[in-house]
Amino acid sequence: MFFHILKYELKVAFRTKAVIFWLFAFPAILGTFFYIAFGNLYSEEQFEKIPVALVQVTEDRNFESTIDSVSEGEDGLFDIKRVGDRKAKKLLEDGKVAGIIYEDEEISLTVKNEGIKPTVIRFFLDQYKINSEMIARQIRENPLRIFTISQDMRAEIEPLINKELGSGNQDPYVQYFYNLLAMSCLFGALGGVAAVLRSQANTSALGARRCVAPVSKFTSMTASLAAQGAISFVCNSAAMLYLRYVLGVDFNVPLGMTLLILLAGSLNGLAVGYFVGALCRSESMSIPIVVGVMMFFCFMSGLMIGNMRAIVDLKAPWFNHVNPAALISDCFYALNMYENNARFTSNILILTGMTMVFMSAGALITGRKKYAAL
Amino acid sequence: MACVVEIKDLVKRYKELTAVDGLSLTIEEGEVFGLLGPNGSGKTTTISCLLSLLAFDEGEITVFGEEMTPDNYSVKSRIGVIMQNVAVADELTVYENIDMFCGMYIKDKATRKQYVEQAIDFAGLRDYVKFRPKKLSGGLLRRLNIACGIAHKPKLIILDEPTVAVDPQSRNHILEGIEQLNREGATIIYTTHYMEEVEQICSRVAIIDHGKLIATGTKEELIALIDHTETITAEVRDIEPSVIDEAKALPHVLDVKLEEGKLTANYSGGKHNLVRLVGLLNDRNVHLGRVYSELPTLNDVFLDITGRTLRD
Repeated sequence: MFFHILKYELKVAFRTKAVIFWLFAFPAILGTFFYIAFGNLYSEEQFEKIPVALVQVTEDRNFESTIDSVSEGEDGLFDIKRVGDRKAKKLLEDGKVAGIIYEDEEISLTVKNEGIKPTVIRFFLDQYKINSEMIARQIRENPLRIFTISQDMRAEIEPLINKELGSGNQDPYVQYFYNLLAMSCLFGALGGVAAVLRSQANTSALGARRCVAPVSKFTSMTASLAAQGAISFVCNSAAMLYLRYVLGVDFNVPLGMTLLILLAGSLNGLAVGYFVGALCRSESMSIPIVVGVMMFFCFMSGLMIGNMRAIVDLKAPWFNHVNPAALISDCFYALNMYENNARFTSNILILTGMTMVFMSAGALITGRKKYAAL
Repeated sequence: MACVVEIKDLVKRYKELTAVDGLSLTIEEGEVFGLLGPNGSGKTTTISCLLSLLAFDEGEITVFGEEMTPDNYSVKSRIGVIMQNVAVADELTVYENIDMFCGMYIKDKATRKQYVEQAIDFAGLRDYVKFRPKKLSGGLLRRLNIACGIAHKPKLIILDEPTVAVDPQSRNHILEGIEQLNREGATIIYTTHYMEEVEQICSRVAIIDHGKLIATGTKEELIALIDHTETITAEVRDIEPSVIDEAKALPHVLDVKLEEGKLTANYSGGKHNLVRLVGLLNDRNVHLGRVYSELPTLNDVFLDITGRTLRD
């Protein structure tokens, strides 16, 4: 019976144009736009020392030490120009610096255009902000540690400046593609909602007809969820293969691991959709809610604003550990950047745990045998 | 005859509203049982409780002699349901829809294929098997809805207003189909607003209103419940009020009224009522147009019992 329902649920899902659009076409189209947009950025000239204006509003010795340290020598990151605000703005206007760093209680950056140089400055500042407390402590306890710290920070930034522009696999823009795949996975939530709508007597006539059939609720629901999960995974994988092999985006993550992340992500999206669909009981409520929640997760993971995750890390680091979009993209990032798999493993376990929680909660709600109202 | 459905003292409440209020019904094997009632009278709620979709507050429901529960798959496998709203998958073809639902009841593939083919022929959908529901007309869609509900050859078929918004040809096809299913041995429960459908196919009728059983019986038994047995209508011109008073005084007359040039007289029984009324009107030189006599219908019974006030 399971396979009979599964067969038809798969047919229904594959023939639902909205499913194919949101799970495959949309990420593929958005990925193509990303590719075109970032391709222009990569056409800038070979990286050289980045001229930066530094405007000191209030003195921050730790920051001064850190930025001086990473700027030292021929191969230093930045060419620092310590100037006043007016002069800094003139330099930026004339294109003589890539950005202005304001050294205040809050370190901030002003740039004129996007490009690899402003991105490196921003990346450095994000790194500093994330690690500022640790840096302050280390400098306090052992000032000589500043050299080691700056070396570590350079190592983080190194991939940006050492790569051949446009051909590397560790550029900051690959993060956008990770986020894109995360979003695509989370759109699997629509499948979770559909599974509920099609199986519950209080959500659709079709659901009512299934509920009067001599089929257990568990069999009926699991068949629907399995079909929706499979569709989500296949579409996400197809989108990924398009990005990888047609556009040539180098995720720098083995194909098998990429598929594993997509599977975990798709199931997580499905589970969230299942839970929301079970709670809301109507298509008109559950679809907007689930899309809103998913877009919020994606926004917070940096799909729209590149350094959003760093900002969240700064303000509410816990959120990145419960945001499925951040977890999915961080799985890719971790495999890309670290040889050690600990961060990846942690992410995938949290993601799977959340999936199980949402699935169980959804099952509790939809598992009732009779309804109070239809 | 064996009892197929027995509902005892069913009560279903939605907070303050009592949708079904102590309803008791018995439906015998082989009947075409009509469930009549105005909008909001509790018909669909009763059906939903019967199918074990809705939890109810009090009462007992047995189907085929067994308590009806969501897990009673043995009973469920013998029931076919045609919902008020069309319940098919828009993404599947006509054939696939019928096969999908039939497959939830019939495991053997060969038997299922045979049943699906028979259901297609039964519903007159042979020319549309590869069509998707969106390409079907309203009547064809209703017929697909029915085919999905009866393909597995159920012993008890519940049809909840299956002919809403269909053309007369499709309606006739559906009603003939229901009669055929009944002849083949299925017990039918049929809810509708259309009295002529009930008169055409139902062997027994229950009228419910405000969740209560108001009347039950055969069509003839129900008609016997109301006072008047004949209504005579005469198109008249130049009639004096005194003639109307004289008409009221004729034997067996319950009431007489004149509206828009039509004189209508209701009778409680008796013979030759038409002759007597026409004789009176001729004697008083009233110009007559058409004159006709009507026997009471189930519609009269329905309106008489449930009242003529508009419902939601």
